[in-house]
Amino acid sequence: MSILSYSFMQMAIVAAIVTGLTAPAVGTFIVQRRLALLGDGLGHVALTGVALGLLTGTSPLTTAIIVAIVGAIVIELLRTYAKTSGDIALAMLFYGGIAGGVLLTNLAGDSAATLNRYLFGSITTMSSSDLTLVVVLGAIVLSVSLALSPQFFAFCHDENHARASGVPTRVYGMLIAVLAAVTIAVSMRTVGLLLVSALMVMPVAAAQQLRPSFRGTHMLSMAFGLISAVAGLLISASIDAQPGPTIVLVAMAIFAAAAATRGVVSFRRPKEAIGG
Amino acid sequence: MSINRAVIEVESLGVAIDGNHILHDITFEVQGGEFLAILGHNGSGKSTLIRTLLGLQRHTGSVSLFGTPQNEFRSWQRIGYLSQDNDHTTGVPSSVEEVVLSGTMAKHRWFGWPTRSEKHQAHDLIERVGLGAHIRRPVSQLSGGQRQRARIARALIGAPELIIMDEPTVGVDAQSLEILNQILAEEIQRGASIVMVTHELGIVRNLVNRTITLEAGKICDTCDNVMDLHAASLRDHYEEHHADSHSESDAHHVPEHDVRPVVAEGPLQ
Repeated sequence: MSILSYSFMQMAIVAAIVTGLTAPAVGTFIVQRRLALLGDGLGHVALTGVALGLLTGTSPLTTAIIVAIVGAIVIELLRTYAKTSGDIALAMLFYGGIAGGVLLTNLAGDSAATLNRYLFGSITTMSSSDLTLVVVLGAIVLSVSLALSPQFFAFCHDENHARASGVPTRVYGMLIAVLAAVTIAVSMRTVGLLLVSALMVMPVAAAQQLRPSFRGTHMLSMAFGLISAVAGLLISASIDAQPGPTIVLVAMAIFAAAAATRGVVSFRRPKEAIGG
Repeated sequence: MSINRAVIEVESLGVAIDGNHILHDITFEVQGGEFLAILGHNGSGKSTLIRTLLGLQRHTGSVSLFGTPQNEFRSWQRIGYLSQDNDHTTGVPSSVEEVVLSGTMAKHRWFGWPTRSEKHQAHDLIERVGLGAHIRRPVSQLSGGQRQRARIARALIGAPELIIMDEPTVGVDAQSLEILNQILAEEIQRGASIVMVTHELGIVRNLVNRTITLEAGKICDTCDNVMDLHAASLRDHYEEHHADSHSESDAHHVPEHDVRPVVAEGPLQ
C-alpha cells in the first residue's frame, strides 16, 4: 500500500503545497525589505502561541496564529514609532518568544520536548480542521500577496519614494508582517516553526540567481518553494524523518543548483559592459 | 496644467527633529511653470525642506500644494519625486522597467496594476533617459548615473505637474547630466513646475528661474529672475551676502562650489 493512500499523508501534501507557495510569496517582500530574519523571529513568537494553546487546552494552531500576528504588529510598531532598529526588534522577538514558549509549556505540565513537533514539523499531528484553516488562510495570504504585488514592490523597493507618492507605507509594512506571521503559523505542521524562515528565504535566494526582475524572482521562488515542500515531505515520509529538515535541505539543494547554473552561464557569457 | 498659479505655498515653516531646530520660519511660493532651485551646503536643511513639502516630515507653519493644505492633499500623482539614491544593490533584483512603473503607484495607492498605457509611457520614458537597452536589466547592475536616470523616469511617469528633485546631480556622469538637462528643458516646455535641491546649479543653470539659499535652516538669500541677471551682478550679489553671513557665523560659511556655477563667466542664458 502506497504511503500516499493514507489520509494523513494526503492532508500533509495539501499543507505542503500551501506552505511551499505562500512562504516564498511573502518571503520575496521580506527579503526585498532586508528583513530576512523576520520569519525566524515570528517563528519564535508563534512558539509562545503554541504553548499558550497547550496551557489552555485550545488548538495550538489557532493560538499560534493569533500570537504571531500580535508579535508582527508589535515589531512593526517598534520599528516605526519606538525608533528601534530592525535587528534589535527582531532580537526581542527571538528571546521573548522562546522564553515564553518554554515557560508556558512547563506550566502546562509538558516538557520542552513537546514543542519538538512544532519546531521541526510533524505530518501525523494534523487534524482535518487544522487543514481547513491552513488552506483558507494560505489562500488568503497568497491572494493578497499577488493582488497587492505592485504596491508591495513600490513600498519594499524604495519606502521613502513610496511615502512621498502617498502610498500607505505603514499599512503595507504592517500587512506584510501580518502575512508573514500567518504564513509561519500555518507552516508549523509541515516545515516547523524553527525552519519555516528558511522556506521564506531560500527559494527567493535561488530564484534571484536566475531571474533579473522582481516579478520573475517572485514567481520562480514560489515554484521552488512548492518543489522543496512537496519533495521534502515525500522524502521525509520515505525515510521516516521529520519533514522540516528534509524540506530545508531540498531548498538548499535547489539554491546550490541555481547558483551553479548562474556561475556556468556567467562563465560562458562574458559580462556586457555597462556604459555610463 | 496650472500655469502662473502657486503650486507650492509655504508659510512660517519650522521643523524640529529630536529637539534640534532644522528649519526656521521658511516662507516662499513656487508658481506654476516655474523652476526653483534650493541651494545650500550640507546640513543647511535642503533635503529636510523637500521631505517636509512631501509630507514626510512633521512641521509647524503651513504648506499648501496646488492650493490644498498638505494634510488634505491626496492628488500625489500630480507630483513627481526624485529621491536621493539609496542602495538597491542587495535584496531582490528589480528591473529598470519595474522601478519606473513603481512610479505609477501614486495613482494605484491601494490597489491596481499598471495599465497598458502606463507601460507604454514607461517604455517611452526609459528610451528618453537612454536606458532602452537596459529595460530588463536589474538596476543593481547599472552605474550610478544610469540608476539616477531610471529614477528620473520614475519621477516623470504620469506627466506630473510638479517635479521635486533632491540632489539629482550628485555622483552623476556627464552623459547623465546632459540627459537630465534635456529632460528638464522638455518638462518646462510641457509646463511643469520644478523644485530642485542642489549644491550647485551646474548644467541646469540656464533653466532655473529663481533660487533660494538656505543656511542653518533659514532662507538667507533669494534670487529672483536669475535668467535676467549677468554673472558679474550675481557674483556681487553672492559676495555681498556672503560677507554678511561670514560676519554672523563662520560655521555657516557657504563653500565656494555652492555658488560657482551661478557666477560662471558670461551672462546666464
